[in-house]
Amino acid sequence: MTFKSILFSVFFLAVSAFITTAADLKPNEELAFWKEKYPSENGVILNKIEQVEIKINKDGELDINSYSQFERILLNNKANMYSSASVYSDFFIETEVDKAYSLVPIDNKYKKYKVKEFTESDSYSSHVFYSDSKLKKFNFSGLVEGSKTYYSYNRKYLQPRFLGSFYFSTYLPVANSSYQIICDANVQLKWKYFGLDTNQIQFTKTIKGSKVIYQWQMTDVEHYKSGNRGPDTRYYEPHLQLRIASYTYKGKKIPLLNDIEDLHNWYAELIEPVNKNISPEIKSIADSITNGLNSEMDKVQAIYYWVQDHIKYVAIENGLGGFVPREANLVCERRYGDCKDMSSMLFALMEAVGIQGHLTWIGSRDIPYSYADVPTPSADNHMICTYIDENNQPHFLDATGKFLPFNLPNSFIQGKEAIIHMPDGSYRLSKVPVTKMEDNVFADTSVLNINKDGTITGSGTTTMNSYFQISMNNTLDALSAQKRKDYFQHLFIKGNNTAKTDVSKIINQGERDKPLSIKYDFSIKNYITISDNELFINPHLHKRFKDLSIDTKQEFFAVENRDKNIEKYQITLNIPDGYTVKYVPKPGAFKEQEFGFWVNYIQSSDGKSIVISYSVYHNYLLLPQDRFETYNKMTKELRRAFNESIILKKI
Amino acid sequence: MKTALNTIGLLLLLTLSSYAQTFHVNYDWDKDPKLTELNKEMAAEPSVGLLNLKVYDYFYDPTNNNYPAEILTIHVKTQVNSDEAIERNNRVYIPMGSAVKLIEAKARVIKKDGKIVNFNKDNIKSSSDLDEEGEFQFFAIDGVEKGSEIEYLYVVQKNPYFNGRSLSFQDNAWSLNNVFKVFAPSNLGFSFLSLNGFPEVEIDTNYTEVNAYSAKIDTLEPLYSEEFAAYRANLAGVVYKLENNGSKKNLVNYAEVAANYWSNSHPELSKSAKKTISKIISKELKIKGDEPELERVRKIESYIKTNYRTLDMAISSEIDDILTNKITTEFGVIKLFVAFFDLQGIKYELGLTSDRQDLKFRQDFEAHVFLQSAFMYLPNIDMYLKADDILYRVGILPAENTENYGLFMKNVVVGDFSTAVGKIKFIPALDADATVSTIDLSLDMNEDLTEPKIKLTREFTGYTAANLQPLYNLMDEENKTSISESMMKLPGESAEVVEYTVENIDEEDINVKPLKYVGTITYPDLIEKAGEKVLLKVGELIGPQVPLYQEKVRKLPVENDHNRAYVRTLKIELPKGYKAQNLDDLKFDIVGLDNTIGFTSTYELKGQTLIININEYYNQISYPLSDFEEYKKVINAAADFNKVVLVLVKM
Repeated sequence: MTFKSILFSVFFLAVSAFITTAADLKPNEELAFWKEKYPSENGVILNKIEQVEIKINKDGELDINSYSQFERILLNNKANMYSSASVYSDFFIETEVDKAYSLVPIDNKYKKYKVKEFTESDSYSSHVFYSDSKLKKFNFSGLVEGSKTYYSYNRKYLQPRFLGSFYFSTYLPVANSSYQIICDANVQLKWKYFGLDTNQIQFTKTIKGSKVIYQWQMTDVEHYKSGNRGPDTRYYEPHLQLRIASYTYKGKKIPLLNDIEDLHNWYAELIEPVNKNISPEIKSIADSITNGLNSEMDKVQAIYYWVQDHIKYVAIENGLGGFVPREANLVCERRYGDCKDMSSMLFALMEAVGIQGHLTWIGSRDIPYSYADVPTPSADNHMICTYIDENNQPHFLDATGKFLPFNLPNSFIQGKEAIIHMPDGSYRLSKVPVTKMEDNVFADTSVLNINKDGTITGSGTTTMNSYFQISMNNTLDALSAQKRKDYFQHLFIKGNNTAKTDVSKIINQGERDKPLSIKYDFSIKNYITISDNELFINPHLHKRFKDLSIDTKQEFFAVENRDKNIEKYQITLNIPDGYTVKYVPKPGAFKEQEFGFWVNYIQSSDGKSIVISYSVYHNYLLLPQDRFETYNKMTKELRRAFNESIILKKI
Repeated sequence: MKTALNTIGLLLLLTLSSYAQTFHVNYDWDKDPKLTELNKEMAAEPSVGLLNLKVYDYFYDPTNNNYPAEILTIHVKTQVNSDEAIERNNRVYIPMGSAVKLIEAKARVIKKDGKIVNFNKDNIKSSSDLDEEGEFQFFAIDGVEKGSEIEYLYVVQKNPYFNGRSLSFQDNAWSLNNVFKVFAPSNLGFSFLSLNGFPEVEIDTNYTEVNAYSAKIDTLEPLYSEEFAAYRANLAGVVYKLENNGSKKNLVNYAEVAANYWSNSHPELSKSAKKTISKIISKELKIKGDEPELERVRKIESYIKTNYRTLDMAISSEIDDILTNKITTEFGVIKLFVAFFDLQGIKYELGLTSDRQDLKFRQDFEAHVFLQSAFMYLPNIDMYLKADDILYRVGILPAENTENYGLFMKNVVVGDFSTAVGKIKFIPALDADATVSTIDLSLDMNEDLTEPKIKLTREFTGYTAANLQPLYNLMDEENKTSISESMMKLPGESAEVVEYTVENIDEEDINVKPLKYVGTITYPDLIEKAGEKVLLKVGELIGPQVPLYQEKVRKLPVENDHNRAYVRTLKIELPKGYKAQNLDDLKFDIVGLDNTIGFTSTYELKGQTLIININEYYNQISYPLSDFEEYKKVINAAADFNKVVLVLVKM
């Protein structure tokens, strides 16, 4: 590769100062040096370097090539767990391995083993139905404690808009992390830092003749963790989002991604050819769905539900197909597609009955960027279709969400910005609302009877709306009669694990616009304790609230919640004949803005029953680490409140 | 294992017979398909298999020097009645790992209204390594809606396989019209073994020119997995293999396997390999001549399992390469053990067997499909060794390989000629006293009752240690903490760990000393208050015990993974001034099935000190279906004990 040699001749010296920090040491000294620095790590990435060169070619287009290097030392006897490595390519990024070898300490000298075999494979998980991404895989030989591994590769970016993410941290601590760009002075770059500790990034800009060298560097970068319930790594790993805003060729400024407008212009170009002709089949489907409906809103809703019901979600990531919606005619025939295809279908069905739909780009909540900060394809990963009503209100239609009611956003795009494409070629930026906890409720009402033989029997009704309702509809849809029984058994487990539940009725299953209700009967053995003419019963049969606490040894940064929600319970305990109430616990509560609970006990005036009610609410999507302590205080209080029994006495 | 076993030599099968007429040429789906009417019970299920046809067609391929070839025809038709079933069935994956070419693939959807959507061949995609499971061709099926029938038919030519294949026709959905056929030239005879109610395969006399075999069963009921059962080993299916080629009978036999496997695992060692291994034995392992054999085996095993890693890839299993690369295949590791043992003069037999949870080893049918898992047997110390799995150490084999027959191979020398003979022998399961979980805890109720402190010691041996002890030091700190904490949170997730230590986790402790956790926890849920009285949920101290329900008619006989015992000692200092009202609730004495299983609990009270001793054991792997109820009693006794609550009242 000629590119590499050019880059090396000019800039390698600057970077190599870091590479050689410990290079003069003997293997045992080098191992001791790093072990002392990182005693509890399996290894250290000595260098994580990407050097990018951006050139304007004679056709006035950008040639973007980069050279990446990874050097690593392994610090203990788990070394050979790190034997395998791979590099990634896809339709827009060509990657070629340059060098790969291991250095194995033998008699306190490094012996070099070159990697000879590389296997290329398509690599993606089957939840993405098809993708053109490929992995070149290889194995390092002879890895023992103190071994080093090195590999480097050349990369060609075929689409300049995909350049520009660099993560300073990774799965091991990094001694030296560096991203470098060399480009002509008339290439304009813009960038922004994200994640933690970005104040430690050292930035330099050097001008050498007609070239400008940008460098971002971080040293001694820790291995960041977020735990099991935390948000995506993009929220906390220190990284750079860089873009080529524009470049000047022969005096003419060529915009790429200076701002949202540029991004939208490019997106608009991609979708321009799609859905020029709407097939008669689509027309006839649209007519039959909307037949008899008067308002535009009703028609949109009917179309939306039809697409949810009839087009299956299948993810396909194939070249530009990963960015351009397929023709609605094809989607209609196939009856499946990805998010873009479903949006295309919604658009076409609406168009067929004279309603204006708008293709809309949006990022899921995994992505922490706003379009203003990152007006690049990195800011989104999803497409929906928007309908704008006569009051200029947008309605976001995401047909990938099965059973999703009209006007309820899919949980994973709540609060995200959307770029809505307008028919005149402009765009509108709108925010998807966050569903309020009051609108997302799980409510359970039940009656408990204590029988002569000491068993408990009862019946109840659980009513769900919004996300609770959607999840339940998805679950019910997936289960066979047999499995459904097991599932309810598990769902309604009450008191202890002898509880048996029979669902007697499901109301509004599969309905989007009416709450879902499940009626059930249950019986529990071995739950109450009877001793010395007294009967002890803990009325808090749902034990799941006992363990809401956040494990502060496992979770860092923040804890994510799918949605804001309230769970409400009301239990009527009938006092069995021959008993009287001897003791009822006191009410309790713990209320914060983001979370809380309350519990209450009311005895009926005739002494025949006690009504126990409680609510637990979670009013956040992301709970930052500094709130963990208060949250856990709440869970402790909740547990204490739930560990109180009622005493009934034999008359 | 395929590489190690050698497949039947193709030349052996060469013949001048010119049979080339193959099944698939004349086979096709119904030109005018009709929807299948299902009875009410079936129609309520998410999916029903309407046709499941598998035909293997053997012939001599004139385009390839008349070498034997194999063509597989798969024809499947499924009715789907839920979205989840659609998503499960609307993608077809054709494994191409051993395939030569895909001859035909087509699919269609018959909609509820009888309309047919044909499949577009352009939809076929291929992946060289899907989910790291090898090469596949696959496609999504267009146009599926609820109530549709999905039908696909594909024909694939594969490298012929004669050594024994196992096919299953049953799963957890109704399966109608199950057809299995084999066609072969008249000089190739096959033999068959039907499993679990699959009909006997019979010679189809309609064919005279070729050998035709056929089995058909109209209805296979859904079989659901059940607790304590070998589900997969109970599914209806068939095993078949090549039996004779006209001139030679018994073509697939264990005598040949033994000879091949032995010679493949005993390559002649190079001088340098011998030198390296001898050096490891003397310098690193410091094995002396008079050391007991078990000690020598342990040192060698420990060295190999910590210094070499297996990868499931096509990498070298040559001894010289393994010694350098430190990575190899599972078979490479077996060869390495062989080389070490030979140089140490340690006697061994090599063994191969099946996973009895999948397919029980059969003494009456010799086929490679029963030879999927390798083991070693050391006759001098009468112990088994799993060379190619780091989870096990000498003395213990994976449970699924025990209580099963296996092929044992040992060396015989006749004059100058050395070969191996095979013999089928039983691999006994380890007794319950080899897998013991011990709980030893004490609790002083005179301390803070809202946060009761419990001193806890847990010990694990045998299988309960095997999935943890060897991995402990390989885990990262987070995993170590999370697993250890879950061990300490014995009574429930809401327990909090105050402090703990983990003992016997060094390499030399594995399967020698019990894995041990010692520490202190608090468990606020242990005590409930009811006015003046205290409820001590003593049963929860043994941890959650899942009761065994069998509401439906039990179908599968009892089969345990392994034998096991639980020994628990609970020492509780009751608070001063209080007495327990209902101590006799602690007494349990449930013993069954000829004393092979039991749950017993006794207590003694000395002053305020209450000591409870609980013994629970399961010492037989399998029982007939008729013993299930008695088996359930013991399992449920533990679950009942878990719910015992003591009422403490002021004296």
